[in-house]
Amino acid sequence: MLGKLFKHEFLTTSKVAVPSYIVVLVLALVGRLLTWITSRQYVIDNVPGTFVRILEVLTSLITLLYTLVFLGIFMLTMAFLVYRFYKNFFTDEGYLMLTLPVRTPSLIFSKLTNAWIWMIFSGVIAIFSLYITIGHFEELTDSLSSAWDSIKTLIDREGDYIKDELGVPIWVFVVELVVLALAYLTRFILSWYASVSFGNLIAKKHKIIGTLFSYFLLFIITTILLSLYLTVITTLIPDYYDKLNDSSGRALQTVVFGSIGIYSVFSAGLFAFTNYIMKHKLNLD
Amino acid sequence: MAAILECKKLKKQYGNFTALNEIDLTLPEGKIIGLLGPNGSGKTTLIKLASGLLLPTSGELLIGGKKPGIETKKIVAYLPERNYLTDSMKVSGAVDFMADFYSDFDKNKAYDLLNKLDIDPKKTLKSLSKGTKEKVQLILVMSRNARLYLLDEPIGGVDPAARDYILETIISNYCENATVLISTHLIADVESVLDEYVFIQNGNILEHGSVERVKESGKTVDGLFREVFRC
Repeated sequence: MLGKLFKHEFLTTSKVAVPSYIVVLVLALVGRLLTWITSRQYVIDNVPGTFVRILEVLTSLITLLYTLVFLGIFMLTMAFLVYRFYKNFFTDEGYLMLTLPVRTPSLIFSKLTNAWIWMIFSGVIAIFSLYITIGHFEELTDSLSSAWDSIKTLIDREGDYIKDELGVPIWVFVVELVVLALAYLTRFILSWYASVSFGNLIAKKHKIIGTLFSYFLLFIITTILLSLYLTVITTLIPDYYDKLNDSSGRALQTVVFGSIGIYSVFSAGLFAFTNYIMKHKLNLD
Repeated sequence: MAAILECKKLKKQYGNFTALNEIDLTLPEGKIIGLLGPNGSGKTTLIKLASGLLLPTSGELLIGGKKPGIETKKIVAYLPERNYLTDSMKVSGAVDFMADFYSDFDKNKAYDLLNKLDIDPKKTLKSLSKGTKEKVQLILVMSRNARLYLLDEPIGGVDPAARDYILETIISNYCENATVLISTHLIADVESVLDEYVFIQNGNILEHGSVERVKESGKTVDGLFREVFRC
């Protein structure tokens, strides 16, 4: 059932996400094309000055628009995904979704996995569009292969050194970083889902205000819990900060694993909290 | 006759407000039953509890002997009084969605009913009128071979001509052994299709009986309702 939930969610969200990403890429492409045209010597020499200036203004506007969209791509994607969560479970659509023969955790998890995909995809689109804007097309293939060569050389030459420093092979460290990024993303997404759930519980009419208030509240609680965690850690390990300040790779490993652990604990708590509200406290209007 | 829905001292409170007050109710299989009462009497709360959208404050509600959960959701077809379909979805997409999640969903029946109503499955839901959307939802619910149909105010928001179509769709499409629970305050419109009636007021069950018996006594359910609920 989880697969079916994910499939329908992915198809519905792609109807908005894919056209939005195409707009980002088209903006980047048009901006690049206009910049290329206005910088051609032939255009400067032969096209009337007024027309070139109009083109330059247009280029600036497109570039400005692209920059705004580029900067907002993660925020817009996240806002859209949070809105989907709210719309699907806390409005009239909830009458369908919450009476399906599936478990509530599956409902939340299908939204979470879908959010992972789109957030990662928005990152890929952002990088790709940036390359369109400032990269050199003719060197694209060369630069990709040379980047790969550089990584290979680094691994071959520095592999043993990195292994000694980190205590693990470099590919394990890369996997750790990917897991860390996913753990961070998961906590971020789930904190919004928990805020939507709690916001709907406390605010009958102004649900957006309720959600934002809940997010702020959650931020404060998270900060307090982190302070408590650090207090406990520093009590148990008196030279904790000295160890962290130690620039060795092993200290870095401690930080990475510690962060993954904290994010995982928070994520589990947020997931359970959201699940509890949806299962026990929700009463659709 | 086996019971499809049983309430034992079922209570639901919202804060200090008691929506259902320790009710006892047993609904048999294979009947069309009217859940009749004025607005705010507890009809929707009872249906929400049976569909698994709410949890009881105390007491018990059983569907086919089980507490509401995944297993009961598989055999309950629920039509809320709200429009629950995503507007950007096509009608055919909504049919696929139901077929994906309910093994008792009959796609052929759904397309047949859509065809009879001249509803183009390729259209998106946002392009349909409110009344047509309601009919699509009813078709999706009645295309399931469920054991219990919970229909919350299915004729509340439509014109009299559409009411006849809706009632006709309900009585000609539900499985013979299934029970249909229709919640409404428009008693005269549904009376002709009912086997049993349940009167509910202020969270209490006032009467539960056979429509046949009411007719034998020379009365109508609508008349009886007016007697019982006289202000």
